[in-house]
Amino acid sequence: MESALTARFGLMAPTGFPVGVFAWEGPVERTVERPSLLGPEGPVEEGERGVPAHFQDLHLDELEAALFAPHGGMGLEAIFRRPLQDERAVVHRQRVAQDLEAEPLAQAFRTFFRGMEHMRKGLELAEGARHPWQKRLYFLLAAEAYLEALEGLWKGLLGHPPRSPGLQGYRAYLEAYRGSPDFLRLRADRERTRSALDGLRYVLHVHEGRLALRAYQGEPDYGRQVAETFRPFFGERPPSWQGRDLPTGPWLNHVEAWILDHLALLFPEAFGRLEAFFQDHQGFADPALLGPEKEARFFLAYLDFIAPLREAGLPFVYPEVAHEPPFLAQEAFDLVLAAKLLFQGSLPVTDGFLFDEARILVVTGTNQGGKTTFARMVGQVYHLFALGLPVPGSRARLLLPDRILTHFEARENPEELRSKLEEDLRRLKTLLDGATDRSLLILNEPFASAALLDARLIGRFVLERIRARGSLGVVVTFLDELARLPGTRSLVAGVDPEDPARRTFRILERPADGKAYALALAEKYGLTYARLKARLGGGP
Amino acid sequence: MRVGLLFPDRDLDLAHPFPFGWENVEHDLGLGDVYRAMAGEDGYLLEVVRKVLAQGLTSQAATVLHRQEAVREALERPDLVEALYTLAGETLAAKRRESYGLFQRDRPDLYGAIKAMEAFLKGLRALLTLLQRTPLTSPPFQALKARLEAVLTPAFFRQAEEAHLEALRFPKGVWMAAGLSREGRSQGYTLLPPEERRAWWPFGKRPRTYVLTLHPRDEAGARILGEIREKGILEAAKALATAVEEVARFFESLRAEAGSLLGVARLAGRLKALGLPLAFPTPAEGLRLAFRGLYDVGLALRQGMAVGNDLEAHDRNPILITGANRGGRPPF
Repeated sequence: MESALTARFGLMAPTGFPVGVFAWEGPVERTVERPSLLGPEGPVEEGERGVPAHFQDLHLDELEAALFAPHGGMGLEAIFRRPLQDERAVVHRQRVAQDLEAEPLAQAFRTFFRGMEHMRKGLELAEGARHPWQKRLYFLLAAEAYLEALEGLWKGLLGHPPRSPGLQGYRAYLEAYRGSPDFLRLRADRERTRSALDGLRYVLHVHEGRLALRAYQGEPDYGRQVAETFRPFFGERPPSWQGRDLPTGPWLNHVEAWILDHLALLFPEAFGRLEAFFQDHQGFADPALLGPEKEARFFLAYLDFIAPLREAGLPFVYPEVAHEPPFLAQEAFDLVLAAKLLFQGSLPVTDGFLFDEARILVVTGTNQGGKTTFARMVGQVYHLFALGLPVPGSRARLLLPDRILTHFEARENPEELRSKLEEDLRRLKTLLDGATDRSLLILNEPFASAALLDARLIGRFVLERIRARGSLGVVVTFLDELARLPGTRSLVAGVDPEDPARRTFRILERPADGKAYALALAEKYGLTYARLKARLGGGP
Repeated sequence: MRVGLLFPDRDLDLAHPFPFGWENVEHDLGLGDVYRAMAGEDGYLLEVVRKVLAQGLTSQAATVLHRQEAVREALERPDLVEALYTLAGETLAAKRRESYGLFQRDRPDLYGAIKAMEAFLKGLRALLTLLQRTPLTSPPFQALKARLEAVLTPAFFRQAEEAHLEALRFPKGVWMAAGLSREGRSQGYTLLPPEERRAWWPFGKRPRTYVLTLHPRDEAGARILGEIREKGILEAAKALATAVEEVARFFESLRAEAGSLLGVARLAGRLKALGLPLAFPTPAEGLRLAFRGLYDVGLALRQGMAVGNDLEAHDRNPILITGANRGGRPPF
């Protein structure tokens, strides 16, 4: 294990791959970055604490569960929970993701994943096996799965040369690794061991509760003799009957175990090789190769998730990294909602957003008109962008946020001694304290717990503070006057002009007209104050 | 193996369905009495002659000539076809006593196949003797004898009966070769010949052998050994069971073909007893129709007599029949 590690570090020395330096003498001092698909500086160190605060608000927790369900136990969530701060890393990942969108390369990686799963399964069986020889056989199987997986991936990378530095680095690493003495020895030893075991042939004699075992000495095939004798009856037509074997579990029964034990005595050379293989190649899997496996899974999990949406015609785009406004996205949508709608056979409404000098978007409009979804969408687009993934939309140009801060309505907690308003304000203060000019703030009905007059006052104050900090903000509110504050852009959840009671779910830039959905409905059914009064007043 | 008495290139297939509307044809031509004369009380034979007459409609000239040869021999030696018919029936009955379907369970039944093959070998031996004892004159019967002689050599009987059917009972257990599977089990079994009880390896020492003796109450172990044994004998069991199936098919065909010839011989006997003439028609190409003294067989059997008619109507079609009522138009 130790030697494998030093070899690996030796490998990554930037001056070519000095084979002679595979110093078994001692550990190489400098730590060289491992090839990574996640960032130019190597993989981000893990250790992400629980779910980030904004996940639940933006439905990113649901997205995470849906994305990584097929890759359980790989710890991909930690990557998903860690948006990048470094623009170079974002670009690095975007290029890797673009490479992996090519189906042949993705296919090569999927095969690689399967091979690695077989390897893990083999190691698990080797771990669990109680029979020592079966343990060694499963260990050999695991090593074979590993070699095969690497071989397949290598061929895939050769056949479809990647263009991203991430995958190129990985390929270079793989190339060097395949030439390393450790790997060559593993491959040669496997070859020798397997051929020795495959060559074993022995004779079993079963008779009345007695089993005898000895080496095979070239006795003829009696079954064939019988078949030859009776062949005139059925001619060249082979006996057609196909037996089905009952499925067997992974472990040996006591007779099989006895046979295996005594085969080891009968064929000491072949089993000696197996034993040597088991002793020499503990920990054969290079950890530096396991990292990229996990990382590639991260990308493919996401690409596989969005594939059906793309097929349905929804656009995805790699956002351009920008420092100066305008920051915008066009034809974006809530990814979680889109997946749900697609499952039901429909598609979501797409919306765009734009931050320029006005860095605060104030969203007003009808109830149930898509305001919250819009806010969520903006948050998701920024988060996915900060992970280096393609985001929903046909065009996007975004500022890499240092943090995404959300304030959605929380249920009142009776155990807290503070009132709901007090709690809301405290949360707002925490958010505002943490915000910088690179932060994205998403406030969803933040003042719903205050009286109207108070809410106006607080709202005005909060927006002032956001503006002072220069943060990007999305504020969903029913206070349309906030949309008239300086530095804000007013967006309104639209209703059908023909039929004001029908919601379009489109969020359009429009001055907030203060007409709430309830009023629209009331008008439609002739229930406004004026109409009612006119009708009840006994006619004109 | 082929029987080949009725067809030059194949055996009678009783699974073949009747042609469409055959029941009506049978009724219109008055074949019921003909069937009864051929089959007597034998229900199986009745079915066979119906099938043969139905399939005869699609025969080619070569088949007709081939069958005429076989029928001549049958008319000459009705006792031979009767003996063949009986022998085939008895052999099949004996086989059925020993085993039903050999492939019905999840593995071929080797023991059942051995018993069935024993019955068949007895039947084949008797069949060969019967054919060899009789001075055969017709090509179909001679060809059948030649085909059987080619396969059923004394060496074959020695090997099959004395060697294999004895050895496959494995009185001293099963020897098999195997290799190691990736999971550490045995795989790729081949059956080895039973070992003689003799001094091992006159030069050098006996090969190293390990022996596992199960505890008498180790039922799981006994079951596992049984499974290993089954895997070892699988190839031989498959081969033997396939051979049994094929020989069974041979005897089924022999029974049907000999039976139909027997029916023909019986019918001819009845007609001869009535003093009526018999002739083998010559198949011809195109619209050729000519006969002399042709009579309705069914009518003859019913009335004990029939009047023959003559006609020469080459290249004429259709033929109209007129005349007095009750003058014999429908029989014609």
